[in-house]
Amino acid sequence: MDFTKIPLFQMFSRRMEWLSARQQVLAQNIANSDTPHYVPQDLKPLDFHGAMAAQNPVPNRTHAMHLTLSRTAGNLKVERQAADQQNPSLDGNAVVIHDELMKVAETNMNHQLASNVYRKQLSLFRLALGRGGSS
Amino acid sequence: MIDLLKPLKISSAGMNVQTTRLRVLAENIANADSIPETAGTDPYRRKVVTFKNALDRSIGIETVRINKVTTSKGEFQRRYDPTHPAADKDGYVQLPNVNALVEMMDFREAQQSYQANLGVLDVSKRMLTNTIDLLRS
Repeated sequence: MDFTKIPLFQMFSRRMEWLSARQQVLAQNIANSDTPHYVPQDLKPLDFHGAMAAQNPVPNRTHAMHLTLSRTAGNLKVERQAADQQNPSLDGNAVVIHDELMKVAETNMNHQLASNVYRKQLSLFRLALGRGGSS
Repeated sequence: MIDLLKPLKISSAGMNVQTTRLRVLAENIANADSIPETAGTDPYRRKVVTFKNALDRSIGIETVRINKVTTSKGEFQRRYDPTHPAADKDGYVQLPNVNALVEMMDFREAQQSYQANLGVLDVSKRMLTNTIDLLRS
């Protein structure tokens, strides 16, 4: 049995990939909360149907100096957020720390949710195999 | 897995630049009374740190880095003290353009940013351990 062919596991790995990529983008926003003219970024919400259908081609690295596309983490699109017009900061920085921290908390929660779903699914398999479903 | 290590690196870069900022601020405050010995030479000039978002080529992601440490162009303060060796012909001594209130505000901001980075680092670490814990189930 190939685990990677089970849709739920495919979705799970996709979701985990998206969540860790988002965490990276949010960490970058917070690290740059005092950088002049920095506009915060966020990931496009994950579209499951599109994500399942499209396989993103990744160019081969033929040289150690080549940079990978890890910034966008495959076909996850990073987009700039609209700057907050009501609270413009003097140095042109548009990061609102509490907003970003809220998103970090949300990402963390979703990550926990995804890993719990994964664990539950595994225990269902175990139950089917007759080794007890507790975990 | 490797992707989850990247937020850790970004947050640590953020904490790194805030530490440098704190160091420069401490330098400013420590030098708030650095007056020259002779007339005609400038007293201590306040230093300012600026940041930039830059690509870290070793890990292939954008982190934050110190752009440059420049000196502030603000006016020097003056104090009337004719007996001072650095007094000019009118009896005024030039004082550094360091304002303790401004420095303290900057200190607070740096501290807050540091804490925010630390918070993100903590969450990223928890996500990482959460993923590793999947192996145990």
